[in-house]
Amino acid sequence: MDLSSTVSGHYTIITVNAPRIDSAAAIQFKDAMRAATQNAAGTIVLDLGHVGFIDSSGLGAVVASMKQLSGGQRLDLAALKPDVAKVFRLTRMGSIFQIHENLDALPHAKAG
Amino acid sequence: MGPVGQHMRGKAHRDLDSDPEVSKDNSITFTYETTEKGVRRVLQSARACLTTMGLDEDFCGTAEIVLAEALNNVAEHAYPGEAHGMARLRLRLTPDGCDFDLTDQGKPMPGLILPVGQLPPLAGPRPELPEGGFGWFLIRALSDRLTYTRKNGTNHVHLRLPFTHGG
Repeated sequence: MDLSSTVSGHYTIITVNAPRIDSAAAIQFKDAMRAATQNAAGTIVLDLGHVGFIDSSGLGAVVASMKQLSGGQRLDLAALKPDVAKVFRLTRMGSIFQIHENLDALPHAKAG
Repeated sequence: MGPVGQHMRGKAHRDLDSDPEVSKDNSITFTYETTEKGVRRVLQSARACLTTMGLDEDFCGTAEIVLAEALNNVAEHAYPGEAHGMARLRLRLTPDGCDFDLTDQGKPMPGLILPVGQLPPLAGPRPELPEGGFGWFLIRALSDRLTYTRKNGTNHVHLRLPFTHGG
């Protein structure tokens, strides 16, 4: 699974460069996330702007990616496409993830 | 609504899950291998088919979500571990929705019933958050008819998506 990581101010933005996080891709996604988040500082934002489809295995892998973070790290989600947003909305993931409309909508972090 | 795709008779030379079979009742049947990649391919084919039928993106997305969960469940429970087999997905449009029939010759559902599909609790500390158990919840939340029958060694899941769904 191809992930790219960008540091922007207070945020580490991890972009998923794949069209699907499904059953066939879930384990690779979780492993790639472990590597990408290991030394990430600040708030980690998972940019799902290229992901058109996610199933419950992919959803579980996103939750698992959050659970494998260290205590001080947090994971937000951004740029959900309609079918992905539908899965997150129906399963009420908004109660455990902060979901941003797009990357431009990230709240401006205070310096320091 | 006319038939979609190439009308084909017989199964002898049909490619697996690439060329759907159109029946006289305008139903379309896909045969696929119950591997993760096989499921992914048939989902994409079925969605393309629904799009060609003129259904909107919202409905097609809902259909792909429901079918992904149902087909993955068949792949995991009917053919556990390394086992896999051929399964069939039949879809048919009706005036109020789309009917889907999934059949396979794998193992029966445990207890011969479909899981209840309650949303797992999302409260609690981070290490206890659920990583699974969402599949049947999604199927039940988005479909308005769902039945399972086991007959003559065949599993048959019937589900229906209404054109006005709550998703």
